[in-house]
Amino acid sequence: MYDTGKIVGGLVIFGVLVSIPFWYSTAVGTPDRRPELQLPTQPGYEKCIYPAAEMREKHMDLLITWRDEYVREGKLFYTKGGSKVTWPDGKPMMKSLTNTCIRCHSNKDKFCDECHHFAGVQPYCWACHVMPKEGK
Amino acid sequence: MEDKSRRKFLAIAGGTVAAGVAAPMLVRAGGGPKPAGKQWAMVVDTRKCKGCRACIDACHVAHNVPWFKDEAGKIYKDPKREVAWPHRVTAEIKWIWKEPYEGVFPEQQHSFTAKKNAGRLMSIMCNHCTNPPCVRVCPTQATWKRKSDGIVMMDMHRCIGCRYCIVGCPYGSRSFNFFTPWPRPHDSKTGTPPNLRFPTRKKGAVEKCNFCAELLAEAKAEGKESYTPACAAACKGGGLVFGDVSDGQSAVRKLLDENHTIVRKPGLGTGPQVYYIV
Repeated sequence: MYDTGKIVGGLVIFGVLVSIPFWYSTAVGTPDRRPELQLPTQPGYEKCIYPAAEMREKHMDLLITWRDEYVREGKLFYTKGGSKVTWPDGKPMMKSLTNTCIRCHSNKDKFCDECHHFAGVQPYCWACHVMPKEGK
Repeated sequence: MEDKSRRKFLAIAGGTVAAGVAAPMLVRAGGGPKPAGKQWAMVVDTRKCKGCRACIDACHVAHNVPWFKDEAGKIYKDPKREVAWPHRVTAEIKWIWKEPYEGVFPEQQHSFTAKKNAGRLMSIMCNHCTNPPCVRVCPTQATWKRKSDGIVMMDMHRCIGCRYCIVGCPYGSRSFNFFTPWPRPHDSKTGTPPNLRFPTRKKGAVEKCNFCAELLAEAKAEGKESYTPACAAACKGGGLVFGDVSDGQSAVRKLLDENHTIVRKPGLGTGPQVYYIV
């Protein structure tokens, strides 16, 4: 074999470079900062329609399903077990990001963006759906 | 044998031609197909139009309708359009707008058209046709005819901006966002649109009048089955009457029964559901 030294040396350097993220985080530790969500506090609006763990994993699927059902199929209201879910004020809950979700999660910067920035995702919901006070 | 096959050929060819001629005629007869079920419709009573812009302004606020500026900072909105036809500014986003009589009813004028009608402005909008050509040509079904109430809906999520529908619509009721539509100059301070109940949009989406389908959804949330679109609610003279045309008792049907009404370009067989009392 020609140039054994160069090849093996190159492979070692390559391996070290590729594994930087692993040994770096082992040596330095994971960053302290984790996203801190601002949760709703208004009385009657503290409880989400699904448990937090489920929402964390599946909220995007829920939003896409809601979008299709609301826009395409005309199923306007969120139902559970066949009956409409209502707000504390008695009105039925719509399948809507800007009319339903933000009634509790009213601060997009501290709720949606907090995680999205941390995870590096850029959902395009906000290209059209605008939140109040955003950009001030 | 040869004669017989020729005769057969001629019969088939003749039949095909006859069917090809007859089918469109059947479709066009009566201005297009009758609404199959519930169908929201508008009667524009031009006799009651006071010539203000209340309907347009109300619609534009309700739907955050974009407007664009050219390089000189002038808004893409030709003031001439409201006095002379045809003046087209393709970048303008139109939901409800005004056009002179000659432009609204080009086939309804002659050498001695009443002087009061010359250049008379009339409110026009999407006709929510019973046989909508825009729906036929849309490759992604981003626009469709809603079966439950006949509104020609527009799903800006699904629109790919191909603009076939703009070509297909014979009424110019569809507009394309050639530029980034948001924030509009006067909204850029806050980035917040005037109406947060309705979304804004992205560059490259086609949009049009939706008969305020979002207000119908809000009405349904309150347990109501009827509603009034923003333009009709804003009209000071009561010149825009809205209702279910399949309901024999509705205000719209009453006007249709008692008055001579016309629609735009009935010969195309699109079945427009915006009726005019001229």
